[in-house]
Amino acid sequence: MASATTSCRVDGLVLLRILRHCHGYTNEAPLDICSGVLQGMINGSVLEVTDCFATPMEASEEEDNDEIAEYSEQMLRLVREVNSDHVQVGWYISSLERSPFSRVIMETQYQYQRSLSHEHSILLIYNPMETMQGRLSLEAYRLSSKAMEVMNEGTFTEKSLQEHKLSWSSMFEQVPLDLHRSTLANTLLLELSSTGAVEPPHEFLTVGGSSQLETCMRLMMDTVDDASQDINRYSQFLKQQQRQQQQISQHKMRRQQENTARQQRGEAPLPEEDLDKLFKPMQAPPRLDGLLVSQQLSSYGKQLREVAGSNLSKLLVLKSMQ
Amino acid sequence: KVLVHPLVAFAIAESHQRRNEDQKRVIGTLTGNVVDDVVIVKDCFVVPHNETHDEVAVDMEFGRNMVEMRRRVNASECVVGWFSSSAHISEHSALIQDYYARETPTGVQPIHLSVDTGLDNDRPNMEAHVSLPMGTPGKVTGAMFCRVPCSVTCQNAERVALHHLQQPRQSGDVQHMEAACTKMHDQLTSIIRYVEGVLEGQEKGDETVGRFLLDLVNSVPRMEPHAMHTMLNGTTQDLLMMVYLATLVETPLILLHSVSSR
Repeated sequence: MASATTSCRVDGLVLLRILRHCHGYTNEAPLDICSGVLQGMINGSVLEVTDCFATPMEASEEEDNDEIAEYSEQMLRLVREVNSDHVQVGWYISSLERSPFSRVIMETQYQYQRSLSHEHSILLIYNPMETMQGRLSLEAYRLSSKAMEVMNEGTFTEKSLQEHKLSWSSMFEQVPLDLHRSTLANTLLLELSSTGAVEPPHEFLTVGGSSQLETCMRLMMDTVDDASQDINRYSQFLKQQQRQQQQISQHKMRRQQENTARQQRGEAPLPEEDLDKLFKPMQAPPRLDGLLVSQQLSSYGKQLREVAGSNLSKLLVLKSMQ
Repeated sequence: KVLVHPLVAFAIAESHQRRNEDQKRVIGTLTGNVVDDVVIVKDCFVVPHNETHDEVAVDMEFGRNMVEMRRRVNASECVVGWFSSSAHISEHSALIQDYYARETPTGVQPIHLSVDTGLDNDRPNMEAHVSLPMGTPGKVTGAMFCRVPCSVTCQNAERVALHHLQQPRQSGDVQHMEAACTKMHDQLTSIIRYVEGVLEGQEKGDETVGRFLLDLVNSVPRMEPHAMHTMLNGTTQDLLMMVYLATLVETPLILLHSVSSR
């Protein structure tokens, strides 16, 4: 692979466009599922994202990828004519209800990173609920090289994970993100704020967000359920494997005993039987889901702590005013 | 009246910077919707065009394709006009305006938005125009561009984003809160100064302002201090519990991570 990008620079325009797409065109309610394509270029070790466009989300799952790919290609061809960067450098999704670390998303990101021209693709995750709280939440992720190696192999057994020392936190690596504005955009900003057309947000002082906390808790509870199911499955598999090993060793012992008994009696020993046919080797359950679930839990925990923390500090200020 | 979202201004500025070397200005289509008599411009895209002294050629096929593509994502978008990235309105603009009159849905006048990227007055100025027919009826008719009041409107989320864009670097929560508190303190101080001035007879009291102030004071919820305390304590306890639960969940994950990465 070429030198990996160490940081990523996002243009203010891209941020506004993502916001516009994720917050709905008609009213302020955030859309459930929205994703789009990022355009930009690679400048040394910095990935610059200069523009983006939204892709349609269809209800049917099978035609999804083809339609989106065709739409993206057409759009990229069109924007080439207006001197916009026509290289796709990644994609963005908004994470309202669903967790951003699901299997589908991981596989899509893997596909992007695997294709030669898009090795540096990043995934931008935008959280609209945090913006309602007054905080901007835009993060750039990429699959780590370890994760890529394991995906290349295709299997996710415990052995391969231990070989590559892959744990849930080293799957997705976060790329440091930088917001960038050109000089002309800066003058526009100055103009907008000085004429008072754009008031500064008052969300910083609101102690709201209880709905967001509830959603976060609910998602976390569901994910904990998933995690415990996954662990149960794996421990059951381990128990069964152990039982099978015991049976195999018992069988071997019986065999040996019989063989020695036969030898004593002077008969030919029994032929070696294929142990595999008697005891089918067990398939280890894939550990990918477990990794993803842990990653989701960690991100929910972090989000919860941040929001609760900021609310606490606001409450303390309120208390001091009593 | 025209309401413009800040995204449009940014997109126009960006596309102006990317124009071809021989072009003096960039033009493109504005999309949005019309609510009652107000046109809300929500998004825009650039359309390639060639402009010389004598003639102008605009790639309208491209424009139509783009609108089609955009509509696949969001069905409620429609063309409301066009923009140009220079403040100067030339004769060609009338032709382009004519064309857009055919593209917009019937009954809607296309808006021509001109953004002054040349910074003629040291400020980028945004103006909206509509074309009105003029001249003597029956004989020579023409059209003239007439200014329409245009202002910038934002959704809440956009305001937050713009505020963050204005910060030179990422600042934490506490700094934001501090800044917001200071600002509110300044606002309250100026209100108090005004009220005192009116009471002492130095300033003339304005009735509308007085009514606003009355509403403001009445809107502060009246609660007994005891009830307020209980509410605050209860909320603090809830939040602390959530922080505890979150840390509780994260602990085995950290254990798992350190075990598996040895």
